[in-house]
Amino acid sequence: MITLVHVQVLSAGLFCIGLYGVLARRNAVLVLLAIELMLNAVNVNLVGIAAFVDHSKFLGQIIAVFVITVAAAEVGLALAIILRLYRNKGTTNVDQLNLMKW
Amino acid sequence: MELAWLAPALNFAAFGVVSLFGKYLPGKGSFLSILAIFGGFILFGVVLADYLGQKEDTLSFSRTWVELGVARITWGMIIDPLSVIMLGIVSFVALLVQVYSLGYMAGQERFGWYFAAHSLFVAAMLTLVLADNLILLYIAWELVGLGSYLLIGFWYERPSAAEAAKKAFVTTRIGDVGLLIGILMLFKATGTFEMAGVFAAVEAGHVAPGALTWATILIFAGAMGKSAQFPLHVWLPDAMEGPTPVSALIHAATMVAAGVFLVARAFPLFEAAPDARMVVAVIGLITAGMGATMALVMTDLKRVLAYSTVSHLGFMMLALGAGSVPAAIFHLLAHAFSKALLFLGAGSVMHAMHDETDIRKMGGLRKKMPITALTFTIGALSLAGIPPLSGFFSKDEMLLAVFDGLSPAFLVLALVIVLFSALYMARLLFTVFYGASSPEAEHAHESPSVMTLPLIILAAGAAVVGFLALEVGGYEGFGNFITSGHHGFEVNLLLTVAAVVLALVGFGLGYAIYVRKALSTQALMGQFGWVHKLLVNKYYMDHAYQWAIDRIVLVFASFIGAFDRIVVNDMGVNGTAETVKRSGFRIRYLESGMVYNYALAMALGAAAVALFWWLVIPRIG
Repeated sequence: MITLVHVQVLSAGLFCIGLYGVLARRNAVLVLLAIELMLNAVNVNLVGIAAFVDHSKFLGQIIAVFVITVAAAEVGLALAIILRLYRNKGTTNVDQLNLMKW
Repeated sequence: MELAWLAPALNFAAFGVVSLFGKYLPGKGSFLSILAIFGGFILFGVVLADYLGQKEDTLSFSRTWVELGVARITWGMIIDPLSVIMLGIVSFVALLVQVYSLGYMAGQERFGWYFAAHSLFVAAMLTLVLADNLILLYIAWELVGLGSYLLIGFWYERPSAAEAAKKAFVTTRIGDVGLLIGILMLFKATGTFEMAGVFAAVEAGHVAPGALTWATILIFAGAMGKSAQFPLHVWLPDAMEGPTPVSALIHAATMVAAGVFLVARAFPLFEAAPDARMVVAVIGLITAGMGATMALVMTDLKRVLAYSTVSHLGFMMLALGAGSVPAAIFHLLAHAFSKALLFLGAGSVMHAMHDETDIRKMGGLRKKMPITALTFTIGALSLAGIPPLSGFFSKDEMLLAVFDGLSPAFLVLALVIVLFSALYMARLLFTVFYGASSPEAEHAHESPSVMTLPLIILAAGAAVVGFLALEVGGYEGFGNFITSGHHGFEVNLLLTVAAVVLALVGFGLGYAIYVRKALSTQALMGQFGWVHKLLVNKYYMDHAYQWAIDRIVLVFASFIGAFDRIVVNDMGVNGTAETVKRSGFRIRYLESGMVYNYALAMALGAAAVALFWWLVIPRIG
């Protein structure tokens, strides 16, 4: 029997993996992928809670659809930025992209 | 009589016009100042005639000026015998001094400004004597201080004159603070600034005796500053750095008369506070004694006169402390004539001697400048108390007041001071005008008539005003006039004889020492060396003040200054800015520019918020 707790543990696990990816990866594209993972963890959480708590209104599902849409737009934008960065800097290593310090 | 306000107003107007437009006017506007003060003198005549015709005790006019809650400040005048007499003294002496100044100050730079400042000074003094409430009186009081500052420091290019002006202003300010506090204490106790109201409340006993005594002593502190009473007398001898006619004005009519006038005007307070009156008497006696002894040894012509003024002012305060306003005011009148005469005479001597003031370099001037010598002699004899000159009458009344009102010790000391004042006057007179002609005095000459005419008028005044004391026909005497018939002058024959004998002894002693050379001054100086040293050094009062200023005031000031620089400025204002700047420099290294650092901080922050929500909120909620 799958309960809400199972869904939440799955969501939390996904989120932590995504967070680890964001913090640990050096390649900007992989950081982006990790962010997508975190967004999907949130989606799982939303849909799961919506399914277990209140079937009638589909609130969680609607927000998940929005999140997917926004994430798609974000990926399009972020990939474009990374592309420009690579053209200018010759790298996508985030360690070397530290112009915004001090 | 309502026109009396014109007397100060005319002089204020003269001050304004002459100071602003004086240089475009013929004679630099000096004639306007003289016209204004002449107008003041005419008004004195009108007011006097009106007053005598009307025969009322006191007339006062007042208009509301400011209303602030309970405080109502008015401006207005009191016309009573006291203010009428003061109006006369001030305007008459000021008029003669200004005419004299035409000759004395001829060719000086800032000739017009001199007359403008004169007008301001006189206008302030006239306002002071007419004022009917304490606020107006205080304003006029401060303006008198300003006028004296401007005139003493008239030759401000000379450091000594600038110093003297500053000293006069600061020293009198010390007293003025007391006066202001006293006025405010009286206002707190009685709820009014009007003198009549204050006096009525005091007489009705609405003021607590302790507060009244202190308020009265504080008011006397103001008089101590202006009237050069111990220990605030130090400014007056230095004030002779100003032009000599200014000294004449300050010593006779305006500045120093203000303090005596104030005590006389506020006398109902002193009557109700016997302790304060005792303070007045003691301070007066000390001042009279110190002034008279210092006048014995000074070698500067004007300084001798200045200490003589200090001594006589002390005498007036002594009479006031003994409870006799008429005697003090009568002496103020007699002294005003005599001292103005002596100072103008001294100015005439200096004019002839090319600004020499050392009396040891003078001698035998009687032959060179007969008018000055004759008038000076009259003034000196008058102040020495030789009958029948004015100083004799007034001194007699004061001694009688002391005899009646105070313990015999005061009288004995007062008589000794009478002896001293005759002695120093004799010394001055004989050294300067008699004896052998000194080499410096060879080319001396009589002054122009614009200077000798005021001398003659003042000499006539000094010779005859004493007779005002006598009751003749319908005139009931000065004492009855000034107190509206409550307190006539009396005569105690024994006392009169004693005073005259002492004055003659003093004068004779002076004659013996300085003309006959029966006693050598060198031998005297050898015998009483330490006394002489003490007196020449002015009882070390100036040294003491200098010490106090250097060691106490300046040290305290440097402490306060250091506090301001270090605590307020460096630590408070700049310190805050510096701390923010420095911590900003440290903290900015947190901004590494590494995107995953920011991400970690965000994650940890979010985790912290979540933990807070999960663990803490349920427990405290």
